[in-house]
Amino acid sequence: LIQECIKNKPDAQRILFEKYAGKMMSLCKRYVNDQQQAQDILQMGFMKVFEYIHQYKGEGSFEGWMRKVFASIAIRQLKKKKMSFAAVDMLDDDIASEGPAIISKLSEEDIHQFIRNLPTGYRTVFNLHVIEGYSHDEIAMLLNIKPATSRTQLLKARKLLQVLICKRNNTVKV
Amino acid sequence: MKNDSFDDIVRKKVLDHEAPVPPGAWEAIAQKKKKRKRYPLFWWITGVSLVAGIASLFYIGQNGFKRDVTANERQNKQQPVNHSALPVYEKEFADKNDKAGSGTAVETVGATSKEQEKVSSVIEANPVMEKTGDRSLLSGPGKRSAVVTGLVRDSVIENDAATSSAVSTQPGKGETELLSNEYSYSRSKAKKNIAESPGNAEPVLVNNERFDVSLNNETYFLSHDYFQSVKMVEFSTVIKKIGMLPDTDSLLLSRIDSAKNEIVEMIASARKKSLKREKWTFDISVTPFLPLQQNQPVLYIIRTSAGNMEKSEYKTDKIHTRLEPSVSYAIGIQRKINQRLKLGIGFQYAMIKEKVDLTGQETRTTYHEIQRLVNGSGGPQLILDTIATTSHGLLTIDALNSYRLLSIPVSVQYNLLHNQGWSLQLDGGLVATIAGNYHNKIQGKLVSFDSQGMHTSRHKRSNAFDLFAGLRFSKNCSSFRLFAEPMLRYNLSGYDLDAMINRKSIHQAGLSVGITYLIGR
Repeated sequence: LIQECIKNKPDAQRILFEKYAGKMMSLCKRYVNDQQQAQDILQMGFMKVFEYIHQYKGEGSFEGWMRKVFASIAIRQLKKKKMSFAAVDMLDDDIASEGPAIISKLSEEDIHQFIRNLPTGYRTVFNLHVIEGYSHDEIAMLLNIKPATSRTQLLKARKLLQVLICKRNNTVKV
Repeated sequence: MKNDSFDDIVRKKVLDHEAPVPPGAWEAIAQKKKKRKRYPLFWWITGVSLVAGIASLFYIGQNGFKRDVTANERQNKQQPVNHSALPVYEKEFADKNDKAGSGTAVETVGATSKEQEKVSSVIEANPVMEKTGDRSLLSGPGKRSAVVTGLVRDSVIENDAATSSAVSTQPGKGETELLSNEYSYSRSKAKKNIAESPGNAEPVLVNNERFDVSLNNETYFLSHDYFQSVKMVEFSTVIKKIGMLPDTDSLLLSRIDSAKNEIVEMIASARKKSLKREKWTFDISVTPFLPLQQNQPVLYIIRTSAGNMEKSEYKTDKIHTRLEPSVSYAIGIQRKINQRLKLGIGFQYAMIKEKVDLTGQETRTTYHEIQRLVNGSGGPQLILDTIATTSHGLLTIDALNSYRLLSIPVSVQYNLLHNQGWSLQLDGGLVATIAGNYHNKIQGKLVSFDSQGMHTSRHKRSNAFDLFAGLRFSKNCSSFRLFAEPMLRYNLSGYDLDAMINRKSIHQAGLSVGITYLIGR
């Protein structure tokens, strides 16, 4: 399929799109939290993928390569908006840590929704570090921030996410 | 919970997640791909046309120049010209011809009385050559008619190198049509003679581009015009033939007079026909131009958009638009009103790209459905509720929008200068934009506010009027002309198209490059 896409065959490109569009749309929405903007990034991302697919050398998964392409486009779009990395007041700092079992019970959609509800700075760092696997130094370079800021944002993002999950969990439990 | 295990679970769930893809997403990508493909082609065509146009003009200009130089050089190498043997009025003409150089001889073929006089003077200047002769050349009506036809065809040519070459610009080809074998022999003999003895009494054909007559060690100038080489050969033919006649033959002299009149009449009639044939012309051109905008100030713009469970309101603090260099394409026809004036009409299509940068504050509201526990009369129960989350921040929007304008230019062309190879026209007129469209890529509903209030809906007025003026340099070729025209276009009414960021006038400064076909040639 990749070879066919390199040859610029529209049918192959369409199959590739249909195969990965859902996952990439999910990625886009995780970064920008805006349907229209996510759709724009999806389009731009696939255009870039088709344009540079010949650069994929087969090292690592193709999906991973695509994710990097999409993530870089999303970051570029976010940078235009001048992201804020200010701290957000926690609703409840004393929230009890929940076991992995509770999170496992949540659906993929729920987790996705929780991440989308994070403030932009938290969300971006969380996405880049936890999901995409970038180091703090790499994130710092990508977002023009200090590595320490990236670490702090990640901690706070993780904490806030846990708070939101627990809140939801508690609500349902009651 | 340990961070690592939390992250692992979240990552796994997130990586498996698939969001619904909006319908039409693939179609949008396919369309973008097509557009992207089209752009290089568009720029290639524009670039190649431009380069080809400029190169052709340059090449033709260079060639013309070289040929002029060659002609001048040849002229300089000739023996000094002496007009003393000519009658006074003939000398004046010959002197004038000498001073005017190549341009003057063009006018020797024409319908006006002045021009007739010139033709006469050239022909009459040659009784001095009536030393040797060949009666047979003009003695029969068939032969004379051949000479006359040659002249008339020549006069029709007027700038038409291709046609002229068919007549007699090629050495020994067209001429041989007109000349008898005997004359051809005498010409070659003359050539030989000029090398051996400059004082030959016979007419000497120096080359195909000049014609000088030598008599008693003096050279009599007939014409210098390089471009009129065809005419010169033909005239020289007549002159030779006349010159070769014995001066005692009064019958033949009267025949010469009648032939002369016949020539003049036929030239006039041929010129009329020629003009008629050039009455209509067809233009095709490409114009790279710089659009210059004159904005009508906007205080701010509000954009509202609503999606699935969310809405956004955006108010601009800063609006910046910039028009990109663009290209327009035009076709048109023109009708010759008289020697100087032409009227034209056509179609022009232009696409102008506009870079838009908006900076402002966005307020985004996202709605989530939750289940809430309430204490009802029958005890605690879960009910569905909606939470609204509002975020506020700075948003910058960049977009590349475009204007597509279809116009009808109505033009008047005034011929300022007309040379054998070049012409210069003043071009001006009115351009009526009959269909305009603004393609705004910014999503959502845009409402602009200016000093006069709010513009919730545009007038959708797709027509506009412009004045334009240009100076057209044309290079004349056989059945077409190449032209380059620096032009200015002033937008009178401004554009107020649907979904425009702000109303504005767009003026244009550019360079048209194109081809004019002479219909009927």
